[in-house]
Parts: sequence; C-alpha cells; structure tokens
Amino acid sequence: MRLGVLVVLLAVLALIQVAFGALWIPPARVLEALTGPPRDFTDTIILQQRLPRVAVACTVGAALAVAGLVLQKVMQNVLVSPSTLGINAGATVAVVLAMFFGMSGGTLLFPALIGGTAAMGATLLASRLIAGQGDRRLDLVLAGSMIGILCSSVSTFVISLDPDLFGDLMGWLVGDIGNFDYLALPVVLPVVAVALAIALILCPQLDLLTTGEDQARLLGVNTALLQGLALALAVLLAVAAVVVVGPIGFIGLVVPHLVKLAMGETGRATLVAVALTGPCLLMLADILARVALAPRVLHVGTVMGLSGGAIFLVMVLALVRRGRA
Amino acid sequence: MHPLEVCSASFGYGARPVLHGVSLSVAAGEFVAVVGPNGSGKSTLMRLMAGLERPASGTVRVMGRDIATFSRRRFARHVALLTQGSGVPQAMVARDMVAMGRHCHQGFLNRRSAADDDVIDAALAEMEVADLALRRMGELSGGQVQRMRMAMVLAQGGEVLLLDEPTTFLDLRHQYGLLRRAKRAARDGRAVVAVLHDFTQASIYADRIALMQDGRMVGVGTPAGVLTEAAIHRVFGVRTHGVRIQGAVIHLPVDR
Repeated sequence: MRLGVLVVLLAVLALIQVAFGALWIPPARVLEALTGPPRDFTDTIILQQRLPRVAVACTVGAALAVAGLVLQKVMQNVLVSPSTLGINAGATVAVVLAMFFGMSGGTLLFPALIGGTAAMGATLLASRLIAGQGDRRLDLVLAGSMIGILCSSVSTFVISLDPDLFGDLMGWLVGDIGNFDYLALPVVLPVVAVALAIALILCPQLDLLTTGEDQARLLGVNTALLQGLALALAVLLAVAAVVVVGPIGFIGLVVPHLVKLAMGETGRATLVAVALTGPCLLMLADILARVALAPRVLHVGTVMGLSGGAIFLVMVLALVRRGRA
Repeated sequence: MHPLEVCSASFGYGARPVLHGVSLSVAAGEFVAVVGPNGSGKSTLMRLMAGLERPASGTVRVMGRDIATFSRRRFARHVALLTQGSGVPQAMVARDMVAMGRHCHQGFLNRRSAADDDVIDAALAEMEVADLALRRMGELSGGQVQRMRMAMVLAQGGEVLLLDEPTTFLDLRHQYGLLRRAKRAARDGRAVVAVLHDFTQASIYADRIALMQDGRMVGVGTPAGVLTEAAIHRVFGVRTHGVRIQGAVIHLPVDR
C-alpha cells in the first residue's frame, strides 16, 4: 500500500520535473508527447532533455539511497552513507584525475570504483587508528569526513591545473542532475539495476546482522562474505551515481532514515521504499533548486547539502543525547 | 555416533588459554548441564560447540562430522545456540525476529513457507509469547525478550540445542517453563546442553552434569555423582550441606 503511494508520488514528481524548466511545458502536453509521435521542437525538448533528466534522477536517487541503506545495515550505524564515509569524494577525485588524463563516458566507472573503494578503505583504517573511548559510530564518521576533505582538496588542485576542465566540471562538481554525463548513463543504468537486484536478494541476510554478528552466524550467515559483498555493492552503487551527476551528498543518509521511521528497519519492502524515495527526494530537490531563487538556478547538490547537513546535525545530536542518557 | 562430540579441545583468546583439552559427548535424547564458577570456560565451550570459535587443538564434531567442514547455513540446520542476551534489534517486530530462526532452512531468495509459519507460531505458543508477537522488541521486558529469543532458537530446530544461561532474566514460572521445554527437546531426540548456575535446577532436569574448573572438565556424570559436597567445596570454595528431596540433591550453604 505504502509502496503504491510512493510510486504515485514518483510519477507525479517526474511529471512536474519534465514540465519545469526554462520553457514551461504543461503536464497535458507532456503526456501527449509521450503517447503520440514527435511533431515539433517541444517534443524534442521533452524526449531528449527532460526525460533523460528523470531517468538520471531515478538511477542516481535509487543508487545513492540504497547504497546508504546497505552501508547502515552492514555497519549497524545510522550515521554512515556514501558521503559521510568519504566514498563520494574518493570517487570524485578519481574521476577528476581520469578526466584530466582524457578519459570520459562510461569507462569513468572504473577509476570511480577504485577511488571509492580506496576512500572507504582509508576511512575504515583511519577510524581504527583514532578509535578512542568514545562512540565507535562517531569515530567512523569523523574519519570519513577527514578522508572526504582530503579527497576534495586534491580534486580542487587537479581542476585548478586545467582551466578547460574547470569549465567542464563545474556543474558536475556541485551535483547538477541537469548537467549530467550523457555518455555514462547507458553504462551506469544497467550496472545500477543489477546492483539493486542483488541488494534485494541479500536484504534478508543483511537484516539478520541487526541481531549482532555472532547471532547472525548462528542463524546461518557467512558474515565475513556477506559484509564484503555488501560493502562492494554499496561502493559500486555510490560511485555509479557519482560518475553520472557528481557527488550529491546526504541522499544515502537521509532517505533510509526517513523510510525507517515510516516502515521499520527490516524487510524487502523497506529496501524497495528506499529505492523509490531516493528519486522522489532528488526530484523534489531539483524542482526546489529551480524554483527557490528563480530566475537564478540553484543546483541539486546545493539544496541537498543545505537540507541534508541540517538533518545530519539533528541525527548526531539525537545519537549523542541518547548515549548520555 | 553422538550428535555432539568434543574431543580434547583446547582454546585461548590470544595468549590467554581458556580451555585445556576439554572432552564432552552428548547423546541424542540427553540433557547435559554444564556448571562451574565464573570464568571456568563454560561460555567458551558453548562458543566452540556452536562453531563461533575454532579449537586450537582437538576437534568438535556434529553428526559425526568435523564442524570446520560445514558451511554456516548447513551448520545452523543442525545446531542452535541461545546466547547470553546480547543486543536485540529494538525496532524489529518480535515475530520477524523469531522468523529469523528459519533462515537456514530457506532457499536462495529466503521465501518464508507455510510450514515455516507453522513452526514459528508453535515456538511462540510454547514460550507463551504468542500475544506479544506483533510488538516491537524494544517494547518488551527483559524476560519477554529472553523468551522471544528462545522461541527463535526453537524455530531454528536441529539435532543439537545449546543454551547459555537460558534462565537469566526469567521469573520462576518461566525459568521452569523454559527448562521443561528444553527437557522435552531432549525427549524428542535432540542433544541438549545448558549452562546453568542453579544446582537444584541442574540436578532436577539434567541427565548428566559436566563440572568445569579453570578451563578443565573436572567431573562428568549423574547429578548425585558429580555435585557432591566435596566437589562443590573444591571447585567453588563453598561449604555446603546436601539435602536429598524427592530424588534431587539440594545444597544449602553451611555458614549461614
């Protein structure tokens, strides 16, 4: 039932997203273009510019949100996500470097994968090193932000070396789903689809981890294998999103949290809801970005950064307060 | 062949040895109570038998097969362990947690069958928690959580049932309810091993007692044969006076 509501919401937001833009296209006209043969310039805009935008929002939103959910399940930590663990920033620096050396399109997925994996590895290692008497969960996020800052600095430095690259990358770096990499989408879309299917299959086993690692093993889970597989899956989903639209933060953090409030923490329905809510939130942010300061256009990354940052602060506060009580 | 055989198993955490050549065989239909002071290695022995740790030397066999050769899923179909209460998923609906016991019996996609549901409902009923099945775990009391966890372990099934201090958190009624259920599991042909602190409960329900001290098995046999005044003084450093009531031996401390 709730999933049905989400599907309707997603369809409505997609329609609005297609309608909005430099040229306002009435929703009725959009439906016409979708059902009939292409006739004029408006149809071209809808089919070649606005619809791909919806496809991007769906792919990226679902990928980032599910990546966040999987990370949170594996690490049993509500504060982890592709952005707070530094995975996004790691993939970004790798993509920037690859583009500096002339790579483009779908092949960027490989350097992104290496960058994202390396950044997460570095975060896990750093969190071990700084582990003190305090909350393990906060150590991990602290290490993630350090690695994130490190990666961002390198990205900025590399971009500053090449003025042309700066022009190409500006929209991508601030996370703009209107300014995505067309060539990457046909590669990324099937990769994301397969990864989401695997996440759906692994979901019940990931749920068993909520009982604790030992208990999960007793119930028949090969925990080491599952954790490795799930981490790889989350990194793949996150970096696939980065390759298309650049680093958009907080989708992976906020969406699982919102969905858990409404649907509980476990079960395949929760995962599907997360995969549907990610695109909804991203489209909402995109629409907001274009309406908020019109005619000036904000970027989705900016809107997500502002709202996500605030929500993250509230979550940390809640966690710290509960820890003290 | 016994369902569970531990042959001179040794184990240590890092450089600290915990178990020294412990052996214990449990037959189908038998209830064995493991007793011993704190830190004598009871829980570590349970972890070894549940495959959570590998012995440094010696072997643990389940159904005649070295447990190192099982996959976790296959092993879970044979051996279930009720651990000492660790974290439970607070937000999870209780019945969903109990249903996790069926995971190892399900296929690749983890579809829950009607037979699974029957087993889950039976386990909930047996632990008298059927009316709490739709509550979230975080809403339950310590005793209710413990009974839910026991229901999960019962739903898992298998030839070997391991219980590590199962009566913790439970009031008297549910302590005996749980022990009766464990005893019935043994009567149904399972091999049951329980760590118990209460000698009276151990001597009433167990067919045999395994007495541990400093990582060694210092006595295995009938309750009356193992839990003697001399053995209790030697192992626990407490002088007791054993009283025989209806076949059970109850130990009262001497220096009251």
